[in-house]
Formats: sequence, C-alpha cells, structure tokens
Amino acid sequence: MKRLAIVVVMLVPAVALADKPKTDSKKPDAPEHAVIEIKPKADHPFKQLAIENTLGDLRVEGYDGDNITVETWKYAPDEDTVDRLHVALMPSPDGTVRLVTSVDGGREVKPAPRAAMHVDVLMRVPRNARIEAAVTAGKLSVTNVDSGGDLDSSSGEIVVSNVAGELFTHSVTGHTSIVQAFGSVDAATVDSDVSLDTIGGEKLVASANQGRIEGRRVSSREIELTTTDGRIALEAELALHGHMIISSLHGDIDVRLRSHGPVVARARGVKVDFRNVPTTRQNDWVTAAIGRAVGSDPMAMVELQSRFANVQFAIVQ
Amino acid sequence: MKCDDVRSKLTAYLDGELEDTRGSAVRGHLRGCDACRAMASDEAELRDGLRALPPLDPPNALWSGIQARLAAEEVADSERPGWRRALTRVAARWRPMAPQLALGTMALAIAVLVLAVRYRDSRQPEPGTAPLAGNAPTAPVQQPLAMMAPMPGDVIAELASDRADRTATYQHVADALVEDAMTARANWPDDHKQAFDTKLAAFKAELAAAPEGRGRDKVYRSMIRYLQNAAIRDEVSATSLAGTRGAP
Repeated sequence: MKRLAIVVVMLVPAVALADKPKTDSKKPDAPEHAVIEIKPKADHPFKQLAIENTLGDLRVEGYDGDNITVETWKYAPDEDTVDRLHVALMPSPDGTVRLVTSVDGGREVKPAPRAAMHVDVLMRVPRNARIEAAVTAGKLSVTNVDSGGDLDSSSGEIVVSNVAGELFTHSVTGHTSIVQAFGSVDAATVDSDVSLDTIGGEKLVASANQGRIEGRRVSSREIELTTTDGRIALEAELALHGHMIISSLHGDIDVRLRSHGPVVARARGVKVDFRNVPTTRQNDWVTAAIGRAVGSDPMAMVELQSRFANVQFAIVQ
Repeated sequence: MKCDDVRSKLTAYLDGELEDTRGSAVRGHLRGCDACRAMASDEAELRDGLRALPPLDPPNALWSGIQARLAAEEVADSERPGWRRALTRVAARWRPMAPQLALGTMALAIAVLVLAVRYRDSRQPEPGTAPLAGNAPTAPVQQPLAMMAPMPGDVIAELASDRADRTATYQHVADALVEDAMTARANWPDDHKQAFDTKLAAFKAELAAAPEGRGRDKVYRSMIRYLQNAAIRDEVSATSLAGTRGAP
C-alpha cells in the first residue's frame, strides 16, 4: 500500500474507552474499538466505497472533506472470539476504497453463534463518493451523500436520508426507508415494507412482494410502484408530462395526486373510486381527464390497477 | 580460518550478525584471500540488486481468489457433520506428533500381543474339559458420546445458512409469481404468450449461468419485477421503467 501513497494518519485501538456507536445506544460498551483515518493521494480523490459488513450495523455519513474515517466496534463474549473478528480496509489506485468485515472459521476456533458477536462500522466519507454497501442482518444507514449508491441487505433495515445521485436499494426482509432523495431511486424488497418521503428525482421505481409501499411528498417525473400482496398508499405531486404506474396483484391502491397540469388517469380494480372526479368506463377501465391539454403538449399519465383489490384516486388541490 | 569456514559464515557476515571477534576473523581472511573476497563481493552485489527492485504488490485478483477459496473451504467445513469436524480437529492437533505416536503404537501392539498370547495360554482348557461357548453375546460397541454430539452453531455456519435462505426466498417468490403469471397468460393473445415464454426461458438460462449468491440473487430480482408486471399489468415486453434501467 506504500505505492498508493495513502497516508494512515491515525490508528487508535482502545479497549472499552470509546464512545458508544451512534447507530445503537442500547449495546454494551464495546470490548474493542478502533479508529482509522486515510487520506487520498493528491489529485486522486476517493470516488467510490465498496463496503460489506455481514457481521453487524453499518452507517455511512457523507461530509465536506477528502479523508475517510472508519470507526469499528467489535463485540464478542471473550477475547479469543474478538480475535476472530477482522476488518480489512483496502484502498485501490482507481479511487475505490473497499472495506470488508470477516470472521475466522476453520477447525481451531471456539464456536460462537452470531448473536454473541458482531462488528459495527461507522464511516465518514467524502460527500461525492458513490457508496456500494451490503449488510446481512444489521442496520444499513446512509446519509448526506451526493453520488447515490447501491445498498443491499438480507434482513437488516435500510435507512437512507439526504441522498442525491442514482440510488438502488434491495432487501429481502428488511424494511426500507428513504427520506430526501433527489436523484432517481430504485427500491426493491421481497417480504418487507418500503417507506418513501420527499423523493424528487427523475424516476422512482419501487417494488415489494409481501410488503406495503407508502410514499409522501413524492415528486418524481416518472413513478412506478408495484406490489404483489401489499397495499400502496401514495401522496404525490405529478410534474408536467409526468408518468405514473401503480400496480398491485392483491393489494389496495390509494393515490392522492397534486398536479400542476392536465392529467389523464385510468384505473381498474375490484372497486374503483375516483372520488369527485367525473369518469367514463370502457371495458374494465375507468378513465378521467382532469384539466385541458395546451396545444400539442402531452398530458401527464396515471395508470392504477389492482387485479384483486380496490383502487382509490383523488386530486388534491 | 579456512576458506570453507569463511564461506559458510559469509551470509551472516554480510548481514552484520557475527560477533565482533568472529566478524574480525572473517574480515581478516577476506583481506588475504582473493577467491573468498570475490565471492563476498558477488553476494553483496546480488543483495544490492535485489534491494533496488521495485516492490511488487500481488494483483488484486490473487487476494480475491485466495479469499474466495478460504470462504468456500469455510462454507464446506460448516456443512460437514459435527463429528467429522471434531475428528478432523483431533487429527490436525496430533499430526505433528505422528512419528512418536507411530513408535508408541508399535510398542503398545507388541505388548498387547505378548499379553494376549500369555492370556490364551493361561485359558487353554485342560485336556478332557468342555470348550468355552463360542457364541456368547457380547456387549454392543459404544460410540464415544463426544464424537456423536452435534457441534454448537457457529457464526460461519449461520452466515452460510443466511445466504442460502436468501436465495431460497427469491426462488420461492419467483416460483409463486410464475404461477400467477401463468394464470394471467391464459387470457393473453398468442404473441404475448410467445414473448412471455421466451423471456421466462431467458431468465432460467441466466439463472443457470449466474454464480451462486449475489449474482443469482440479482437475476431473481429482475425476474420478480418482470413477473409482477406480467401477472398484474399483462405487461410482457419488459418495457417498464425498471426494465429500461436494467436490473436493480
């Protein structure tokens, strides 16, 4: 790593001296805490982080600086087990910094269940670095970053706030919460819910299988929300010429829309309720045109459908 | 000092590891012996040349490969039965003492043989007495309990199990959605049916080719999105927003 001219500024391993991690204040004092700060080589800023923590929580905070600070807390019932836990930090010449936590296995170690040992990681990173992060059962939090990221979890919660750039999240059973996203968002879960608040990028795509999707203050130009079994509730502001597709197989759909221009909305479901908007019906579809198109400008399009449940739609003034 | 003595100490001399008196003796010999001096000079030059070489970092792929192999071995290890892991551990612990153990075992075998012969001689029936019953029941051989008990769950095994569960969940959801889509398919026109069948076959081929773990999960995620759109919206051309942006 000498060739990378990465300067390790500070490495402070300490025993039971550290503050508790901000991510979870209920945990006991960490038996081992370490802080490391790395500086980029001149004119070679850190562009991307690839982080994998299968052993606990991960929190990534963007800030207006160039260095990366990594804090780790290792929890285990005894020193031998603490020694099994490792954190590897690997900067690359292309500007990618990779961090991986791992645990020794094999034949010579004393067996310990996962519940008895974990590693929590807190990283402060340059705001412009793109984040690729994965956890297994721990909580994954990302805040204040401008280049988006790709976040993955099995059963851990994903919490994202104040993010610009293209954002992808995928989780199997962990709840996903995205607040203040200003780029395109693609959130996929299998058996868990998705919460969206203040989303304003070009595109918003979210899907859940057995989970709900709830959105508030969504103003993306193109919106596509899909569930198999969960309810979809959305309060959105549809941009001029925007496009919205909300679909569920078994879940109810409830959309309240604030529109700044003419909208064509159509819906189908077991029961379709357009509140006070006049509609026409053709085959299975209920259609409404709200406002008048100006010249040849295309109108905003809304398509709502639930194959085996109900659809509600309302225009909010 | 003779040349052979000096040459055997050259490396230590050049490393500055010889005590003062020995170092002085070697130095004195080198002053008077051209052959040894030339040899020392060659070795010193070689060392300088090696030091001047740029440091060589192993390629990233090498370390990734080693990590992957270690991980695979740990996963395989976690999947072995507990008694096998215990047996392997015991074998590994005793392996360094194999020569001593072999000698000890041989001595023990000879001792047992001698005792067995003497015991048999002592139990030889006297002429005219009845022989011992040959089919007397014997006690069943007891397996040592420690070898049979399952090892307590370790984090490595739990992590491997998590990965497998994750892929199994994706697979289960995809299978259920295929059923839902097939129900919807009954009402589609023929060109829709054909497009759907082709896409489904492509996903299956992609799954078969994808590496286990995250690679396969990624294909499942794309497949689930597609199947949701097919089952709910009768959308089979994958032109949804998600489809146009590639797999999530």
